[in-house]
Amino acid sequence: MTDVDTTQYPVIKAENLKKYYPVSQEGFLKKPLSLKALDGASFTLNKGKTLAVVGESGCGKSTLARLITMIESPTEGNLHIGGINAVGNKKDKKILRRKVQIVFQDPYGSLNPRKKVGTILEEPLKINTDLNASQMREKALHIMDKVGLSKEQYNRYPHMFSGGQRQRIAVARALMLNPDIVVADEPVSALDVSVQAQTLNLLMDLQDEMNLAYLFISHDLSVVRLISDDIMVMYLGRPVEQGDKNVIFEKPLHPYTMALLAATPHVDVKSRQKRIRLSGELPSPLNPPPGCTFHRRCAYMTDICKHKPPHLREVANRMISCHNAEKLINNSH
Amino acid sequence: MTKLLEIENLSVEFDGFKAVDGVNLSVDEGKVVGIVGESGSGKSVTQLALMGLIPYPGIIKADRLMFHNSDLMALSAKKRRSITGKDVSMIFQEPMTSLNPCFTVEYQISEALKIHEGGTRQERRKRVIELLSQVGIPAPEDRLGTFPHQLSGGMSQRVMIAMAIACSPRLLIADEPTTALDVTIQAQILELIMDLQQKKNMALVLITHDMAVIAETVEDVVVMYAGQVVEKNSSDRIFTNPCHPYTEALLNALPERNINSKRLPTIPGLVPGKFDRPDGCLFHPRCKHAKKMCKEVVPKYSEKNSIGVRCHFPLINGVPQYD
Ligand SMILES: Nc1ncnc2c1ncn2[C@@H]1O[C@H](COP(=O)(O)OP(=O)(O)OP(=O)(O)O)[C@@H](O)[C@H]1O
Ligand SMILES: Nc1ncnc2c1ncn2[C@@H]1O[C@H](COP(=O)(O)OP(=O)(O)OP(=O)(O)O)[C@@H](O)[C@H]1O
Ligand code: SF4
Ligand SMILES: [Mg+2]
Ligand SMILES: [Mg+2]
Repeated sequence: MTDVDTTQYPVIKAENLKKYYPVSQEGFLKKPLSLKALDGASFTLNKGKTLAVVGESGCGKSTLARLITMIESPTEGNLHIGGINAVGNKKDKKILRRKVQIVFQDPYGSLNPRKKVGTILEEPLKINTDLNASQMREKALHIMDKVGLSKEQYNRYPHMFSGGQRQRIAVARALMLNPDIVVADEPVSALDVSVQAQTLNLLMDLQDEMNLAYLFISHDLSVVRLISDDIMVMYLGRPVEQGDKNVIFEKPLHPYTMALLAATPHVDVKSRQKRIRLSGELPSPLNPPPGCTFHRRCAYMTDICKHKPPHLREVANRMISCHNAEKLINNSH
Repeated sequence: MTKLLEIENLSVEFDGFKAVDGVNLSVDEGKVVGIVGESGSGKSVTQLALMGLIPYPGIIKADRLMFHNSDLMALSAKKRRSITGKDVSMIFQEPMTSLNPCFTVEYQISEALKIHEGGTRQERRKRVIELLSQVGIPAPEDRLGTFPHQLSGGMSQRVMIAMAIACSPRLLIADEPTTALDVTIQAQILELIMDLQQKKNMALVLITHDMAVIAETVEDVVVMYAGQVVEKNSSDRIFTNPCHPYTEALLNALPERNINSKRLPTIPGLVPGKFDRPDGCLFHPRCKHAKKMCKEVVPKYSEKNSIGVRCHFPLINGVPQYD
């Protein structure tokens, strides 16, 4: 078995990842369409850091999560986890899988109601390690302590816990195999504000303590602003702007990022921005528009946008895929 | 103004656990009311009780449960569903569990239309496409034959919304309708719902954890804690001047109000469960303003100047009124 050395490489290196799904059409004789759920995402994620993925519903965030956690394999592209190739690599699959764990959105549906917390936590150990029963128990209690659950709760069933506590169990389960990377797909959106705060604090504490890397998917930009180091904004299967959190929040350049920030609701009136209304129809990943896939809804569209797809390039300290990025630097929206 | 919905002293018990405990809620025709509160505080169960959807072994009690002049408590389950089924629509909290995995998107919306509007298959198909495009599903014609598992989280949520608005309800209960949606689509969906509300004078009960959505959408806010309504206030006032200590603590935890801090403020302790419901005020073990009286005497819910609060020492400008 190859030893995974995660100190020398970025823990995730993704190059041009793609995932296409076949979708059957109404009516016979029609051949299945190919749905480009993810159409070329590249990024690196270092130890102890958080990359937040944001974007329109259906833009491919969960698909990306399924590829990174190796639940599905990419149609195309390269993925290295801890420096090891993770595409079509049967030999190292087991060890790679242990390095990446996932926390899902729904703290209610994602835990088996018929199993006790202890059993839920020990399951990954049973499958992946040779530990004996008492070692497994010890490990489970150790992790429970880390996420703020008490010993007595080892024998309880999920329904005896509140939403926030269940999310702690889900985080604990993800940590059982000492992963380097935790993929969190909307981990706090089902929680009330105070439980959300507890869960976010927990995630940040664990990151400091265990040097975890997070791939954090969320629709809530105020949460993203708090927890992330880097952001990747996606639109229709592709990243359109990515880079340092502060750079992007202070001066978003891609027109879609601008619209996203402007559409974020705020509690306090002074934080509210004038909403940018996205006109035009939502594009379909089954039949994406030519040129820049955002052009039909973009307020800054020029002729070139209609036929030439923009490529991701560096402008003003971030990666951006927009023909007019330079012009937008001086735009003061 | 006509009262559309009137709930008085509603309680729902599961095996001795009070999921809903003496809740009052009234909604006027064409009004928008928001409900926020702790996870597990009874927000969804309150609405399910109204719809007659509480599963066994739940027991419902209420002094009054009126929908537009019909006393729902006095009606048979069947009669009651025929009233709520026609005039009340509900967007359920978990779209994944409320859509049937075995049927296509078109079939599910079409069935909802069939019950309420009838029409030919072609007419219904046209209407399904129209509804799907209203909720922002791109190229809806291509999605008719899709099954729920082929949709993203946000798309299933929008299919649910399309089903709920299909038959122009007088009251729409939306339980976390936009949590799975990004903010631009969220804005569009809320606009669509508010548009229906205004054009058709529809009443709306919006349940959500998203305080910012509440702040920007609703007129009145109801805050729930451990099965009880602890505060009712206008959305203008509640965000600047919360009266109940729980509301205050909840708002302090907002990331929006803690942009440059390393950690978020939280509320110490846990919500009471079945066996540890405290005496006195249910919030007292976690309340930073609690006094001796709070541990011993149950505070009554009282309303003054259209602000309702269940607390012995309601806050004014953040200061408890101990006298
Ligand atoms: N198994 C599948 N078969 C066919 N299409 C799929 C499948 N899974 C996802 N898709 C499609 O791929 C696209 C991306 O879906 P994905 O779940 O990644 O979106 P998302 O960004 O996570 O959205 P959301 O924010 O709504 O959860 C969508 O158009 C979706 O319908
Ligand atoms: N069928 C049931 N049997 C037993 N207990 C139940 C049942 N349904 C709900 N409960 C309990 O009733 C309480 C209130 O639940 P409810 O779903 O109304 O909470 P909520 O305020 O909607 O929370 P959330 O914000 O997490 O959606 C919870 O403690 C829940 O566990
Ligand atoms: S009644 Fe007392 S314990 Fe309850 S919220 Fe008010 S001050 Fe706090
Ligand atoms: Mg998703
Ligand atoms: Mg609920």
